Amino acid sequence: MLPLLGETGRLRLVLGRVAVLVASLLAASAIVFWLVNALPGDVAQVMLGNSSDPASVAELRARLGLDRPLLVRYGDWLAGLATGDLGHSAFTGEAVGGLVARPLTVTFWLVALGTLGSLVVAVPAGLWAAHRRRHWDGFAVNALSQVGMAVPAFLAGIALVLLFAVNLRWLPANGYVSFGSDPAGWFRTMLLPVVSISVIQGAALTRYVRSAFVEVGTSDHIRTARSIGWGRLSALWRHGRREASLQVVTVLGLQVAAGFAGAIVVEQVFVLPGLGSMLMNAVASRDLMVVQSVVMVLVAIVLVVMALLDLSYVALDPRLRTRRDGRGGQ
Amino acid sequence: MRRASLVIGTTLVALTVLSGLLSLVWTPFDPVGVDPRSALQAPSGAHWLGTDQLGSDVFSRLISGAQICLVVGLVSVGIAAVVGIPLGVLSGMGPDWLSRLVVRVTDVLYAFPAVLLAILLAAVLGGSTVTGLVAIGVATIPVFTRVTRAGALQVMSQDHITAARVAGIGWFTIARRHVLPNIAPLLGVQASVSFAMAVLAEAALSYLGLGTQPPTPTWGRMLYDARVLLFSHPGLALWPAAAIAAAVLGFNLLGDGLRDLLDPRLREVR
Repeated sequence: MLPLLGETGRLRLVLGRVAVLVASLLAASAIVFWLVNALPGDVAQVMLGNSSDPASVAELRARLGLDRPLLVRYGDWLAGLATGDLGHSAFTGEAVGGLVARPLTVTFWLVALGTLGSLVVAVPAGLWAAHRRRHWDGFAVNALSQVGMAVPAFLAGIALVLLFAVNLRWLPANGYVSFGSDPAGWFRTMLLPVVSISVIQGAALTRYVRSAFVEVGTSDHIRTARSIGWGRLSALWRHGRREASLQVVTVLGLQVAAGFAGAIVVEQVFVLPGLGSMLMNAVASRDLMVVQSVVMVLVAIVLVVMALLDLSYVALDPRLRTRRDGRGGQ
Repeated sequence: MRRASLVIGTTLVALTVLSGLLSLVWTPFDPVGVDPRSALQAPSGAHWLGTDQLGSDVFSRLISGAQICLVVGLVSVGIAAVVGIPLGVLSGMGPDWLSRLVVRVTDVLYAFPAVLLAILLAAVLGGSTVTGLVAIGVATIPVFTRVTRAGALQVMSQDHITAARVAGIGWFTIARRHVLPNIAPLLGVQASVSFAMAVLAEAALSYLGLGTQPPTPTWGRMLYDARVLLFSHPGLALWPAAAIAAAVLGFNLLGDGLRDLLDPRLREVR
């Protein structure tokens, strides 16, 4: 049982979570920086090719600041991140912050709408699978989610392209139109990518929603609700959804992380100019500053979302509210 | 119904393993052989599943693809287990501050999916089978830590552990004799489910070109190559897709089946 919290207790909870978030961001930045910079492999050498003379390699190393100690470079990068400066591309010299803005909106909407879509799929499907778990249709939903989990998101994308772009010719197979220039076109180009993320993420989420509702269904207050005349489905939904949502919120953060991973691949399938495409180009050209800053942006978004979801417990769980709200007292 | 998951899961996993083993000793054609004259043939007596745009035999490539899938799965789950299980035991049995620290560290790792780790590694070292399996292995560590920790906490709250501690038995012995044997079924189930996730991740990485490099046949790469021929030869995408789905479904169902078989307490309340 969670203790009942007063106003100061709740403030301490929020501040504590923010402190953990800051520590997590620092740890994540260290992981990213260490992986990219401490592994063997000389960026300057790679950029100039193996046949280049040592003097020009040394010159480039100096120009990129690679001759300075690792810790100093980490400190610089971190200070830059804190002030919104994501460094500069080693090739074009452009600020990564400026390069990131447009792809970020593409990936953001892809993941946001995909996660929303997965909830739209998973909540009714999971509730139904829990409600009808002893019947063939509940079993069918469960089996379908199992199959959905076995399909990579990019495969779903390919299947959707085959059906809607190749056979039916309703939607474009790939390409991207910005929302500003053509909202209808934006919708048409984003629809299939969003659906492929929704379906695959939704399949995994359906299993969580199902087991959450199955567990809630065995609790006493649902039995009481049933005994005073509530139908099984409406009792589960009306009196069980808050409890079930607590469990679902726990995995939603991981779903967002998986959503970004899925988006990187789905962007390749549909040739969307998002962060995934930007990252893959940067990997191909070994533009390490772009790779490390863009990965850090993605990881930071996931960590912030996880923190926000943790804090949303306070809103979802009345036991964490203050007495003065007049709702949480016992 | 419970038996069904175990039976279907075992069958699909066995099919994948047998294909991989068979391809070690025999394939109808050289899986990396190129023969432009016989490119894009329909399935026939000679080429059971047809040929791709380079004239390679699809069936040979398909069964050889099981090798990389299984190697990456085994090694990455191995990495995750070797690092994740001790961490989990440590945080389940250790002092409170250590327990919290491990949870926070695994939470940070959760923010690094395999694809992101592979991108970081590939940017420096280039894409390879090793890049892929290290990325997938590290990304799988937090799941093992979390499951082990939960299991260890549960075991530690039981009376026979209290008795052992009162009797002055050291924590290492308790971990070895009581905690690990008790949570072994749980970990076996997790290994199977994580194997399924690893197969999915490997497919994604080789599709992106971050994992195993051509010409070594992988299912993800076969899908990537089939992508440009989706309009004219959709069958080329079908086979690797089916192989990925079968392997993942197999390991997932095997995990579900094992859960019911090994530990009746984990069974869903009915």
